[in-house]
Amino acid sequence: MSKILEVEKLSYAYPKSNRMALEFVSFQIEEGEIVGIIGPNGSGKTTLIKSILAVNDYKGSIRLYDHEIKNIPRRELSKIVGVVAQEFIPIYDMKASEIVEMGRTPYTNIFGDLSKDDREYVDSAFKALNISHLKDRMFYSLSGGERQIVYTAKTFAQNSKLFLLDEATVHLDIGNAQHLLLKIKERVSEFKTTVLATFHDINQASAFSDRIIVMKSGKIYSIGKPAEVLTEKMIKDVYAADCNVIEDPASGVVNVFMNMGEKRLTSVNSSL
Amino acid sequence: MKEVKRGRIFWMILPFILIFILANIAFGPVYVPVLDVFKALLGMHVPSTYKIIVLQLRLPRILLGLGVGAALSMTGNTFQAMLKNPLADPYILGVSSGAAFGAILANVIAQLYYPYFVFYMWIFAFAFGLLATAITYFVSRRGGKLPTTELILSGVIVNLMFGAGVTFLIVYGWRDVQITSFWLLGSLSGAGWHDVILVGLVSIATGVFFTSISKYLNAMVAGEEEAMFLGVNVELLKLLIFVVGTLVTAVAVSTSGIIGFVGLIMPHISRRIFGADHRISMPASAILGGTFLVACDTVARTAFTPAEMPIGTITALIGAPIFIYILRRRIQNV
Repeated sequence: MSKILEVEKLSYAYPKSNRMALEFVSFQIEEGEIVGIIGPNGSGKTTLIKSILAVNDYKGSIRLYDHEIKNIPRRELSKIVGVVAQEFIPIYDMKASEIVEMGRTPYTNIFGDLSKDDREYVDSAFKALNISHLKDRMFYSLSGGERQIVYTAKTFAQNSKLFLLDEATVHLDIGNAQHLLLKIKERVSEFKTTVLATFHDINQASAFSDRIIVMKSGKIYSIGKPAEVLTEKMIKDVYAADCNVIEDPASGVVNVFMNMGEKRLTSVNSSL
Repeated sequence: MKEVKRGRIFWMILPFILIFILANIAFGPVYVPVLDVFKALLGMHVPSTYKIIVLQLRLPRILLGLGVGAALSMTGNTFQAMLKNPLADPYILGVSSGAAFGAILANVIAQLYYPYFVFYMWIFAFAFGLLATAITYFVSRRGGKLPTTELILSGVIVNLMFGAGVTFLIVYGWRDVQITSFWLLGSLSGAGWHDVILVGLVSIATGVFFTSISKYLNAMVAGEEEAMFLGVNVELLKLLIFVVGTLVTAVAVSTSGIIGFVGLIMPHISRRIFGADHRISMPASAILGGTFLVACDTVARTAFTPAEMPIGTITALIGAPIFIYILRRRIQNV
């Protein structure tokens, strides 16, 4: 396996407050790997994703296939890296097919005409996500879950080697979230796509990822396989939460349960 | 596949629109039969008075209306996508009144001090158009976004400021308040072939440019970051749009004064009919904007003879209710 992404001593300070959002973050990702990023609000997850997209002026080095991200022309970068963020909110209502076609922007000629190839990528993105029936629907007539899946189809059509998911499932119910994550996993095994995904929900990260990066105040707290990283101590240190970590014996997936404690239970009982 | 169909509808109705535009030549103080209009245009034999009326008086005026309407409408369409606000247009943003102020300033300086300043009219119009856009932009900006209320309010202030400047300069320079109506409400009267050629060339060049960035405008509709993720160099694109949009507005305003609402409502109507994809809505809004302005001009110059209604009055009477409709709908959606 070869490295697709190498992050070394990555730092970023917010321009106005000078507060550090990221401090000396280093990690590597192999091709075809699924890496989850978790951490409380404001721990630097989204800033990390944005740095990898060269949207902000970071310090340190981020190397994609051995090329510093800052030096890759944006159009070339967008052929390698695709993004699914929390929501896609166009100002005009458009057809689902028009949204997915946007994924071909880096490849089309100056007038944006789709070639036969481009159309095939668009079609296969619809098929891969089982949403061909939504093609002619207007985006705002779709449910929140369907919109997010159309948005993901746009990123599929972009045909990038590295997917960055920035809390892509945060507004989805468990059914839609599962559908989306399973489809992305399918794509990973089919095309050897690499995924770096931030998660709000620790259990989704645990079920989805090969490895997990835990962030705390702009630094990496720990990094490793879900079962190694997700510990009661980590949850306490990073999230300041009291949780039980239990392994599902059937799947081997580690899950975190919020501990409401005996005290809470008894107080409810006593009020009855 | 439907997207292709929408494009096809546009190309199918285009010839009829062009015939409609040319049919407007028939109307005026002297009625020229429509058939004779087309005969004159095709160089066939018609009475020589008809020939003069059609080719020298009315055709340049109609072509000027077409060019100005197309330019304003395309600029509005582009500004709306770039600023993520369907209420943005050169008039609302104050570009038009800034450009008018610049054009008049050059004229006044030419009139009173240095006659050669009249050649700087475009440059002045362009510079003050940029200044007005910059003021509106920075006054209304809140954390990288342009909220509708702030945008409209600061546009109103910039318009009032430069509008007052226009009146001041005209009365100061010519001791005559009549000319103000030409500038503040617009007019296509006095259109000569040199105006037509200038506006025509600029509109066509702008049209090609705006159509060639359509796919990037599509990528911009969900925000600047989403556009960047699709490989768009957003800062460069914004700069180009501001400069080109202001330039074409400055040329339009210098030849025909401030004509409001065309750039606001025609892109909206073209999106309603042909969809939001800029690859279609850009040429469509150009044609619809041009047609609308030609039709408004026909009303302006024929309905109240011997007087001529300023064309901006007609566009405002039609445009303002549509503006209110878009604004209300937007507030409900947010």
